[in-house]
Amino acid sequence: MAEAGARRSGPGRVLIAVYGVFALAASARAGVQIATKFHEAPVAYLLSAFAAVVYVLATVMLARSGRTSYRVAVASCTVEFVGVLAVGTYSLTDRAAFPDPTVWSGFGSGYGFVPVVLPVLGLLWLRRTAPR
Amino acid sequence: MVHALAVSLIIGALVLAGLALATAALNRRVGVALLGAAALGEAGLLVQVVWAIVRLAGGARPVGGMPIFIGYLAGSLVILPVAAFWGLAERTRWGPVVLAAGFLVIAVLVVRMQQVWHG
Repeated sequence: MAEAGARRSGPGRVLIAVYGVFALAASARAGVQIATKFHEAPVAYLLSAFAAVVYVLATVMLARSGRTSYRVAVASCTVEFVGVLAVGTYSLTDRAAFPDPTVWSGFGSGYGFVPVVLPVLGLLWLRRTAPR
Repeated sequence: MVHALAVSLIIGALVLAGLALATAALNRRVGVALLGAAALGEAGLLVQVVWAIVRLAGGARPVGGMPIFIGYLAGSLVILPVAAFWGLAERTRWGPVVLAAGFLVIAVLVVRMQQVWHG
């Protein structure tokens, strides 16, 4: 499974498309939050921005072929998964810090829980297409 | 926003997502029918954008905030062309699945746009 471009064909193409949507949505959301009301909930909005960066990185690295992008893709999906779990838990225990939901609060409940499923699918796909 | 148009867009997007998934189930690639469906959806979204611009120019304001509304409006026009391009490049049944995802995103976007407009 080490042929060039294998990562972005078949199911990988759908995965990258969904990652792209989340990269766009998270970036736009973080941009608006930070530009218009940063002082209201700095922690939540910085986490939004961080999530956006992770999504953009994962999208690009999944779409690129090569060993280095493979490693970065694995790292971003892992960080994403840990992030969803951490922010999800944090948002439920300290609601005051999240007056306005981020992509990852409540384990992504505002986005149909796709944010918590996506990194798992991403890591499974990366394992199947691992370079030898 | 025009309620009837938004409802038609949401239902239409869901139907087209079903059509795209059926195409994938039949093991077919993205063809003329799906590209036409994407063009149709895009035309409906363009009508909605024009209508929103007319309303905004007339002094109406989205209750949920202007920057967010503009973001959704612009985003709604980008999704289908990119999904069509990305799905067309895939020579297997996974191409239509990309378009199905695009149509589902459109349905969600139109629902959110309604919420932002009405508050």
